[in-house]
Amino acid sequence: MKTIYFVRHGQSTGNIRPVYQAVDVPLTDEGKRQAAFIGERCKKLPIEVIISSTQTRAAETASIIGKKTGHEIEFSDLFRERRKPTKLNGKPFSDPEAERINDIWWQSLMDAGPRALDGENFKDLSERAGEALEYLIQRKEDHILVVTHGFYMRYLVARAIYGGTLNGDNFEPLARSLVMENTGLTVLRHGTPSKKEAWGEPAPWQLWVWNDHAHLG
Amino acid sequence: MKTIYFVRHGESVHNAAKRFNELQTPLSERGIQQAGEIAERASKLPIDLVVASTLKRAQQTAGIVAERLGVKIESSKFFVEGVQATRLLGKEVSGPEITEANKSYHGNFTVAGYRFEDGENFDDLKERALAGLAYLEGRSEENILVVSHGFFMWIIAAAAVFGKELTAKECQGVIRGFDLMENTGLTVLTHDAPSHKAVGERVSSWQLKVWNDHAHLG
Repeated sequence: MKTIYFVRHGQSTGNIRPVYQAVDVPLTDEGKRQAAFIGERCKKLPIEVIISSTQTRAAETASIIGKKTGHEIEFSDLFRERRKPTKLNGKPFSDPEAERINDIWWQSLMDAGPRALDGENFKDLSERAGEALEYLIQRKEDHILVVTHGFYMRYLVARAIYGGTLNGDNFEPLARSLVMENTGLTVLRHGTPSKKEAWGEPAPWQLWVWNDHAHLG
Repeated sequence: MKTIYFVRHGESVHNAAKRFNELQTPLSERGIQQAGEIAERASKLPIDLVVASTLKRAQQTAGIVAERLGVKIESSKFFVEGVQATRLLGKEVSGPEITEANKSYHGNFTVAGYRFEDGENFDDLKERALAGLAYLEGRSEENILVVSHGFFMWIIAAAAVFGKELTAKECQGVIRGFDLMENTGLTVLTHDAPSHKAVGERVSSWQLKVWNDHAHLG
């Protein structure tokens, strides 16, 4: 059985301004404090390796956690945030042109419209999430901590639950109601000894915990 | 904005013995202790009201929580466990009757109108979960703790996420892909939360904020 602990990065400077976050923004002081909290909590978990998205806010979060738990950080592009159309980076939410592009992008993220410029779309992300899950299955460690991002986390969970049957119709409701906190903890397990014998066959992946943030008080 | 804290009842004597619960199955010693732990944790939350399923194991759990919090309990049939075929109650979970029943029940879950003996079917469960959510929306209290059950919490989560359009197939995905909540695990739904609306996100009115947080169990 594998247990994968997913942590969303701490608050970034891009999370607190009404603009489309640039690709690489650092943590705020609050974000660093949040990372230290989750790091403290991670000391009690049997983690064997920490894998982080290559983006700065995730790498900084992973590094703070790794200092607490005594792990070096491995990096993987499989856990980066959805890539937004470059034109959006740093634009205010109120900019009409940005809003127009964002609308098209949202539709493409739900598999309901054409690609928005150079942004990733549903197919890209659902496939990347599938690869990421497969990569985790292939790792030799049984307890893995992954530092990743808020929106991409929804693809990871949706792909774990719906596998190859994930589509725009079942993804969109999940995308609209699963919002992770900064440094929230989500746990997926693969090949669990089933506690579900009372209710039939479980899926290969199980969402054990979503967005536990008890450490934030 | 409303915040609904859903707690699965503590371990029952039948959970411990791996049997299907009956309506009057009480908590085990361990279940009573777990209820004390979630009560302690809930005492730090701003809860105005406890709503409890009418089944004994939920009533006992809610009693322990409400006493610690000093708030009243409202009993509600909206949040009882999914109703199983009567002849299965009390039976061993891995025994032949339940194994056979599961094959039929889960094998046909997405077949329109299918029902296993006198148990609830998908349509019943969906209707009850949506009615339960509407009831919570209509309450005047902002922060409500609801004591409910393992199987039914999948239906509540699916109904909150997918809403009135929930299909049996989507619901089956949640049942198979979300792990069973731990006894006294905590699941949080919010309704009309202001956060994230500002950041260019498109969000539903109900949000699954937390599934099965059980940090208090160590």
